[in-house]
Amino acid sequence: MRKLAVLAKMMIILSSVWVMASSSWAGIKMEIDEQTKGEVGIWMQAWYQWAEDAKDGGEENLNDFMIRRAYLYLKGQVTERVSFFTHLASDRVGQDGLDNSSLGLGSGVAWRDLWITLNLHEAVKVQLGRMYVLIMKE
Amino acid sequence: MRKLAVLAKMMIILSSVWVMASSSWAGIKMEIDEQTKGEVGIWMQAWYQWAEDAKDGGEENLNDFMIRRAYLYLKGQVTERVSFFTHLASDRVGQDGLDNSSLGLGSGVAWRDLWITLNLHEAVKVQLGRMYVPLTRNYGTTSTKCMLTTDLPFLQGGVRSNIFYAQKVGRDDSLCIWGNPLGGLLQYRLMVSEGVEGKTTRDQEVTITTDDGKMAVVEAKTVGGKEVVVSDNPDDSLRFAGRLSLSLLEPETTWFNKGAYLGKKKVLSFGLGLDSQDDLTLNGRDDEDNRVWTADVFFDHPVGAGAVTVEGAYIDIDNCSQNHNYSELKAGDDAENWYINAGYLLPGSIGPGRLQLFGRYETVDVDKRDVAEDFDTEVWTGGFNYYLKGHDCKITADYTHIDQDSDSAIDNQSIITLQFCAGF
Repeated sequence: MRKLAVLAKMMIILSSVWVMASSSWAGIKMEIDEQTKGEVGIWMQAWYQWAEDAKDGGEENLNDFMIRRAYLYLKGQVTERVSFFTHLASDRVGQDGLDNSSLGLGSGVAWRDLWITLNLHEAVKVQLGRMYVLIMKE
Repeated sequence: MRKLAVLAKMMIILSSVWVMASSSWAGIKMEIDEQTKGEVGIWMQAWYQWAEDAKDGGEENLNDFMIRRAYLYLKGQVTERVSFFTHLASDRVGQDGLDNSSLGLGSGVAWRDLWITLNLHEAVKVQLGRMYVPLTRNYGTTSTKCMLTTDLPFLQGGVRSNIFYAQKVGRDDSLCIWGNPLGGLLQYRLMVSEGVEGKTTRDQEVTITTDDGKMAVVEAKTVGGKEVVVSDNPDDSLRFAGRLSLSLLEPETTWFNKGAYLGKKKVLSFGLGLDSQDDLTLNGRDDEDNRVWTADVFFDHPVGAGAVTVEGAYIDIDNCSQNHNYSELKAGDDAENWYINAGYLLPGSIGPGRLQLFGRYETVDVDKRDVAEDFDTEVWTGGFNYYLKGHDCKITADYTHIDQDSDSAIDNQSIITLQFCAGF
């Protein structure tokens, strides 16, 4: 009963946090000169997960608290034609049995996204770096 | 409500910080009080590289997209006499076959530079932390954000190679005393540091007899029950390094110099560097003393509306402390290395930017410890920078050819590199 009460309190606190959340990409904006501008922000997702028969080779249920995503972003433009985007990120920090710090997975921090875009025209942009694979919408 | 009020106050403070930002050192400047100031910025270099016969043991060509450098910096001063500098960085993220997250190399993020400086006087500064090794100009003083060529010389870790001296991605954990006496006519840097620290070993080819009685060559971790030690420092002896430079035109007084000033500074600088660490184990031999000395010259001057940049260096290595991956230089060998860089910034703009052509010739002559003959490696590079906003935003492309000695086991190779660089 006590555990349930704690969980209920946690859910109330988390709900109030979601209410305070605003739209995406609304970070702190900076302007260095007429051309050079930046924006920094952070977003994170904290999870509690219960998984059936996921511990001890399927013998036990698993209670897993983890930071599903912690993404610090810095994006901006250096000139009107050249912009960049970076995500310094960790995924699944604390997930049971996961530890690959070189990818910022389970522990550690890594560059999740990092690209430089040459904006030749709205219809032609050349982007070099680490980015989404262009297969699915998601 | 109270939380919202705190948030609102934080936003007001942050807004005032952004207003205080200026553009002289490119990053975002902050002032906390009269003495305490800071600056934050980021710069990155994204690469596409094509390397001839670099995959599957030299069987296939390699296409390699990578983040060559991603450096987030925070620097500042806490009092008028105490300043600091940090680089939170990754190098070669995504380079084929490279993964050393503890050094932020190939993956992960690590502190690349981190030091605290006690500024006693312009001529005497005491610096403690992780920083450049004051030996060569190109990787001892030049910012890798502001190089003339796409990357460093081959023996100093450029393009796809590693560095010939002991370091942690070009830096060492150390104490350095440096300064600019005589109004910047001279700059000196004296360092005591760790150098070779722990033991590194390598596999060695040995011939064995298989179960069916045939002979076979295999890679073994031990030979005759003993490890093959590339380098070790059993007595934990200290490394001593130092560099002296003489600037006859405008002085270079900062920790990081530029590899090309793009016509904005007149520099003629002569440099001398020394690096020494005793009692090392190198390639299985005990009590070896590593000694390196170098001499270099750097000239950068406007020519009409353009600018010319020339840099040359000679490096003499006695008992090298590392295995180099692009030449026959191995731990315990001696070598001579020299290179010359030259660049010309064309006058006027071409489209939205300015074009600079550059070239480099580098040679490494290796005197093997165990073999009577010498091995030479020559590296030719030619390319261009297209500057959209100085070193803060440029596109670079180059072609490099590595020509190995005919007796070398390493094949000749061509490499093409395309770079986008942006930051502030």
